[in-house]
Parts: sequence; structure tokens; C-alpha cells
Amino acid sequence: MIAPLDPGTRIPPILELTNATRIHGPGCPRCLTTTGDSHGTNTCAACGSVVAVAEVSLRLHRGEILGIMGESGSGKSSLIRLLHLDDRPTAGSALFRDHDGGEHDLFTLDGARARWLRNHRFGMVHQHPHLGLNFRVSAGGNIAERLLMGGCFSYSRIRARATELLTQVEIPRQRMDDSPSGFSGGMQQRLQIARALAPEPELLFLDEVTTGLDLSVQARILDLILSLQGQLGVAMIVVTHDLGVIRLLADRAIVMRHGRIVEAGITDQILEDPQHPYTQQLVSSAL
Amino acid sequence: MIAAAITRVATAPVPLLPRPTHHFGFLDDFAKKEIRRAVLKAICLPGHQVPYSSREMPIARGFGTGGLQLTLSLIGAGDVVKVIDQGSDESVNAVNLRDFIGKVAPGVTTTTATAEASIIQSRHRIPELPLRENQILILQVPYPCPLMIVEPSERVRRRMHAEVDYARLWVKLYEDLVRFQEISISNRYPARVHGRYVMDPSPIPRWDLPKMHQSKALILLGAGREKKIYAVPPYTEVEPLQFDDIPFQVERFQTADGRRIPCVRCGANDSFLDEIPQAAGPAIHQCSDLDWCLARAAATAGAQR
Amino acid sequence: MGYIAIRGGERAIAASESILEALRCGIFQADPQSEPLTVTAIRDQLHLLTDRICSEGGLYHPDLAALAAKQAAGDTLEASFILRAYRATRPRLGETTPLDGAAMRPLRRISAAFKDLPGGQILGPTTDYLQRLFRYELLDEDPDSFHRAGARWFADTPAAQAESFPKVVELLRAEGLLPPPNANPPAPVDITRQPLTFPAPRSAALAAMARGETGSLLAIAYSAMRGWGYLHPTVAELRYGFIPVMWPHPLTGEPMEIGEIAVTECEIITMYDRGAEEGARPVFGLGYGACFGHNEVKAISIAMLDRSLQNGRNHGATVPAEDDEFVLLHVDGVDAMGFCSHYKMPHYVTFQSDLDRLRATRAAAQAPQAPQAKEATP
Repeated sequence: MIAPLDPGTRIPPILELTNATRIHGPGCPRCLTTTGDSHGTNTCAACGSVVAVAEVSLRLHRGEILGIMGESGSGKSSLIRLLHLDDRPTAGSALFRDHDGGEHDLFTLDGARARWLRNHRFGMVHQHPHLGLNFRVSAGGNIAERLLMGGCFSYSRIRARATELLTQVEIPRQRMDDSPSGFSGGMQQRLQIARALAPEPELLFLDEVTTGLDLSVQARILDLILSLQGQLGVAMIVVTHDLGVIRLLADRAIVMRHGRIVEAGITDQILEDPQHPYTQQLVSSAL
Repeated sequence: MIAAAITRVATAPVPLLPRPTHHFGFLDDFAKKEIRRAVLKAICLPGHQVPYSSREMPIARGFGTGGLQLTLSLIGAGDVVKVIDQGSDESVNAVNLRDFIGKVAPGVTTTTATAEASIIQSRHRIPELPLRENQILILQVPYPCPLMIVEPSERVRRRMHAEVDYARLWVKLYEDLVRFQEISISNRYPARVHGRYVMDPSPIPRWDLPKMHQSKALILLGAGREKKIYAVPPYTEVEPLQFDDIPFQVERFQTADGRRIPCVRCGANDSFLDEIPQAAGPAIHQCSDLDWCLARAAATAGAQR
Repeated sequence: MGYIAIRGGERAIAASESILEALRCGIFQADPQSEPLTVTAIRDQLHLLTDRICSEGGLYHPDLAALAAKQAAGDTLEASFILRAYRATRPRLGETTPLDGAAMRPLRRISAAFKDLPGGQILGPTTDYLQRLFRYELLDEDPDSFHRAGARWFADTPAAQAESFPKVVELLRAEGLLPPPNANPPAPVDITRQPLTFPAPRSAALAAMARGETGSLLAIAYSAMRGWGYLHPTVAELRYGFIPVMWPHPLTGEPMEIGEIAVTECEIITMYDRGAEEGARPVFGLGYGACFGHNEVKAISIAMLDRSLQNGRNHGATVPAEDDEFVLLHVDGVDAMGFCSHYKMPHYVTFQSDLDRLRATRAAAQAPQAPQAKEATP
């Protein structure tokens, strides 16, 4: 069931997720009722299954940055995996609206069409560069792969676009033919961003992209993301456990715990006036 | 207890076994039926590898059992079969296969003349003489999948083909250009068939790949050891994977100053050549396609008279 | 009787030996005309079997290899083991200078790289182009035609002309397509006197593979040929023949031929890849393999693995065939067969310990609370 259009906007959302659920294990009728915020656990008391995501619904508008805030076990990474079509949900539906008007029922796509969407419309940046980069191939080759799969088969165009992207993410163009294994952590992340943006995607997923980096490096990457967003207007879903990142990047945010959304709204509002006790705890403990 | 077990074993001297009679074409009907069905499926899905339970043959795996099973499943009395290896009918492997086919398929004649053949079984070459609609070309295949250079797992490759995921193959081409300014894949150059599946054309040189494009003859490819059959139906698009701005190149036979080397036997300067090192002096070059070369040499001699 | 007898080990072994011997002497067959196989017949008529045993036993002694085959009733692992054990404590008289492959008197010499080459393609004795159909006439072989076959071959074959067989790799080196050989090679490692350590020097790897078990080498090399570590190889040259063994004269010190051994030698060339040095022009890669006797599958497999191991040394092992530990530790037939067989020895003490652990852990585990529900459908 797709939620009706937000009466406040005439342009439909780029992404509408309805009741997404992901259960690991056999599953049983009591999985949803014995897990969640009031039970303080993800594990079903009846059958031992892990409820990673439970009945999550959200909407993302074109050009918007949505923050997904949560600690480990909250389900935020599982949710991203579902949206990026790296995993199949146990229940729920998702609709992606293309800029040309096409609508894609995400969870019913077959492997080939899911791959097409990931190659042409989505971009993903992982926390660990090893998940998002191919270290057996040069930095330029990593970008080229996305361009080739996006349908660009001109070698000179690929070289030009790769150079352009590397410049945008502030990687020296002389490093284009080097293996990313020689790059610093921050530079590897910036290469991931370049790669993710190569086919001019409409939706970018950023999964804990600054976690584990030095603070100054983090700041630089966050500035880069903001600036790219300003230039390109790409919609983003930013997953993080860091309130500072949410505050800086996200227009709207949701807070997840035990696979559920416990709070949602405009970022400023959530941070100024958190309603849920967990959110209050997070906000008060942030530096 | 052990003694009792032993005395149960046969105690007769080694019997003189009856000699088995072979089916026409050596393969039994069950095997032929399966192969023919695989062929039909392969023709319906140009470039797609169809698995089949390849039989062991009296010829070793790696020596053309895939091509041989195709030939033996398709021939009937009246067929004319040509067998070549590296373009030559005289190569030991071709001689052995041709001999075997002749032995197990009475009524089938063999030939060295490309123009006369109804079925041509070949290892690593496509004949220089353009083929006709009523001919079938059977190519012997060691590696049926073009993705083997980037992915060792069959399971993963199958998914890649299904999802049209040839990214890693394309990236290999890109990296070659960055590193060497030339693509390093020599023979077995990957080609897209009918706009869908990327196929390994078998270890034919780049020279021969254009012959597969819009070929009038049906082309069948058989991998015996790897147990796959695939096909390029007649009049099908076959395009080597290439970047829009870097054209696909065929092998060059040039002297150091860029002149095309002619065949030392027939003088042709438009065929694929064998390079033969000499004890002293430079190597000599002659046409790889023996039938073609002999015909050209005869025509030249005839014209000179 | 309330206990299990714990004596009788010696009696069991003696009984086992006697049934083993009875089986070796053909207790199955009831033909009273059957005679014991002669070691000569095994050596000469099953010469590929004895060659394999020499090769895996690590000792060039066709007579003893044939005896081992007879004694082991045809089991090549067992026979190689007997020969290897014999070899292990023989006194070492000295070392020859490195044998020169180019000095081989070849019975067979082919190159897949070129259609023809100086010295020519000599097919020699090979089953490659034979049809593997049963020769039923061998069930009742006529002794006369058996004896005439050899004599006829010598009579029909013209006297050999001294030919020179320059190596294909030298041709490629002359054009700079292969790097030149190492001008100062390190002393070869004697793997029978020094333990194998990793990373293994190339000579140690080649020595270990030279006496490796054929099937093991083939399996791993086959994986490399099929894509686990893509090789793109061409057989530049394969030779089988006799290589002279040179020994310094005890007085003059001049190298003298003291005999010859049969050797199979293979060189493969692999396509260049990005492993080539930065800035330098790319070159082909070389793989070398050699073994005692006539065993082409083994020589080719060693050459493939030599190249694959060098690739692993140069850019890190990404697949088993490039990993020197994986290859070299698992291709020795004597080691592998011994350890595999050792699992048949009593392990009931260790197993008793395993039983105790499982019982204790099961006792400590909680029982499940509720019946398992069916898996939820998406």
C-alpha cells in the first residue's frame, strides 16, 4: 500500500517506503509483537529470530537529504541494504520514481532490473572502502566501471568524466591510474563518492561514511557532500550514529531503535525538542 | 570370513569379449537427441551457453570432443565433412578427427575443400573463403565463457550473464588501455551476440571475428570438457567489445617499416599467416588456411600460363 | 567374558601380511598357468608406470621402481613411497653439474607456439592423436608379433641424422620477448637436506614439484588453467628424451658422461600482464617443468605451476595455484598419502575426549522453549 501524496507538495516523492520488514530466521506470528522499543530487544522471544527492521515507512523528496540516526542494532544499515536492493525484505513495498516519470516497484524487481537501477539511478558509499571499491583496479577504473555500466563506452569520455569527478572530490588527477590501496582513508572515501556520483544518480546512499576517520578528514568530507548536494541536487539518505553529521547534512531525520522508527521530523525540531526518551538521551549526551 | 568373500569372486580366465558394434556416428541416440536439443536451444538464445552432459569420447578432452560431439550428432549419409586445426587439414589433430569421423559414419565423405563441405569442424580458425547458407561451421571451444578472465566461479558467471553484468570485463579492457595503450586480449576476443550475451568466440584470432558478424552459415560452438554448447545463428549481429572511440584491430603482418608481408607460397596479402622461424635469417610467413592457400597458388599459376 | 581383548597386535599384522601376499599372488584367479610377473616385464611393458614411480620416488632407478610396482601390486603411492624410503638414507657420492636440457637426445620434441621450427616437430611416442578404443587383440597377444614390433620399428626407421634443436625460448629471448635468464642464479636448494620454508625459493619449489604426485599437481594446475589465477599459457616446447649425466673425472676434473637418464621437459610461455615492471616494455612470462621418465602431464603441470607461483611471488597470491604453501605442501604423494592413511589408525583416545566434550556441552545447553514456527513468507 502506497501512502497518499503529501498534501503539502505537488511533486511526488522520489522514494516511498511502506511497512518494510526484515526478519532473519524462521519467523513467527509473535516476532513483531515481542520485539521493539517497549521490549527493548530485536530478538523474538518465541522463535529466536532477529527482527532487523520492522514496519518502517518513510518518504524522500527529490533533492532532499534524509538522515537515519541510530546506534548499532538499530536496523539503519539493514534498512539501507533493503533500499539499495542488496537484500530482500520479509514484507513491505517500495516505490522509486524516476526523473522521466517511470515508477519502479523496487522489491519486485528481478536481478537484471535491480542491477540496472543500481547502475543508473542509485549510488552507494560504504563505511568500509573495501565494500565499495575494487582494489585490484585503478582509481580511474573504479569510476570507469560505473560509467561503463551506465552505458558510456567512449574511452575519452570516460577519462574526461573520471578526471572531472576526481577533481570534484579533490583527488589529484595524477592519482587516477593508481590503485586505491595506496590512498589514505579519507581519499578512499572521496573516491567512493566520485564512483557513486559517476552515472549522475538520483539517489545516493551514504552509510556511516565518516565513521573511523580523523575529525578534520570527516569535516572535509561532510563539506564535500554538502557542496556536491548543492551543485547536483541529488537526493540522499545518510545513515549515521553521529548527531553532528545529522545536524550538518540532513533536512529531515528519523531515529531508529530495535528496528523501528521512534522519532521522525525536521532535523532542527528533533534536535531542539526531542520527544522520545531515547532521542532525548542521544541529544543530551552529544557533545 | 575373508576366504568366503574371496571365493565368491569370478574364477574364470579372462574371457574373449564380444566386440561391440557402434552406432552410426559413434554416439547413441540418447546422446544425439540431447545434443540436438541443446543446439536448438542455443540457436534460440544466440550466444547463451547451454549446458549438456558431454560424453567421454575416444579422443581426449581438450582435443575437440565438444566439436566432435556436435559433428557426430548432426551428420548423416550424404554430408561432406572438412576438419581443420589452425587452418590446416594436415595438422595431426585434424587428421585424427577426420579419420575417426570417416570410420564411424559410413556414407559420410570427407574433404579438404572448404567450398565442398556441408559441415566444417575447426579448431582456432574460420576459413578465409566466405561460407554459404547451407554450410555449418563447428568450432572447438576450450573455454566457453568470456568472463573466465575476470571470475573463476561458474556460479557467479552464470548470474553475471543473466543480469547482463559485464562490468568487470569492460573494466579489464579499460585498465589494459590505461596500462598498455592496447587491449591485451589476443584470441578469444569477447563479442556481443544479437545485442545480448557476450560470448567467447573460441580461440580464433581477432582476424576471424568479423567473419562471425552476419555470417550466412550457422556457427555452432562446442566445449566438451566444460560441457557447454552455444551458437551464432545465421545473419546475426556479432560485435567485438570495443570502446566507441578506439576501434577493434585485427592482427597485423608487417615488416618493421610497415609493409604487409605476403604469403611465401601463394603471395596473398589478405589472409592470416603462420610465422615460421628459420635456422638462419628472418622467419617466413605462409597462409594458415591451407586449402585457401593452395587454391590461390593454383589460380596464380593458372593465370600465369 | 566381560572385557575386550587387548592383545594380539602382532598376530593381526602377521595375518594381514599373509593375506596381502596371497592377494598379490593372484588368489582371485584360478588359472594355474599364471606365472609371477617379472620385474623386467613391468619395467619394459609398463614403462610409464615405472617412470611415474621413479619420478614420484625421487630416484632414477627403473629396476627398483619396477620392483616397487610389483611389490605394491600396482599402487603408485605405495610404490613411490617404497622407493623414496630406500633413497632417503643412501650415501651421497656428490653432485653433478646442472644437466643441460639443450643436450637432450630427444625422442619427442614439439612446440605449440609455432607451426614449424628449426629441428622440426618430432611427434615421437604419444597417445595424443590416437583414438582411445580398446585393442581387443591384446587380450590374447600373439608373442611373435609382440617380439617383432620392436625389431620392425628399428628396421623401418632410418638412421637418425644429428640434428640441432635450438630452444624456442632462446628464439623469443633473442627478440627480447622473454627476459634473459638470471646471470647469477643462487645455489639450488636441496630439499632433501634443508627444510622447506616460505616464501620458497624457485629452485626449492621446482624440486618439490619434480617429485610431486602427478594427480595432485595436475589438479592444482588444472585449476590455474581454468581461471583460478588466469594463465593464458602456450607450450613453447615439450621434449622427452635422454639427457647425459656429467660427472667430473676423478683425476683430470673434466666433465665426463657417466650415463644418461630419461627426462620430460616443458617450457610454457604466458601472456604479459600488468605484473610487468612500470615503464619497462611488457614481456612474456616463462614457466619451466621437468621430471624423470616420460610423464608429459606432470612436466606441463609443473611448468604451469612454476609460472603461477612466480606470479604469486610477484604480486601476491590471489588463488590456490599462486600460493606456494598451498601448492608445495599438498603435492607430495608420500606425505599426503601417509597422513590420509593415518586416520585409519586407532583414534579412540582422542575420540573419547571428543565424546566427553559433546556430552558436557549438550548437558549445559538450554532446551528450546516453544515449538518452531514455519518461516514467514515475504
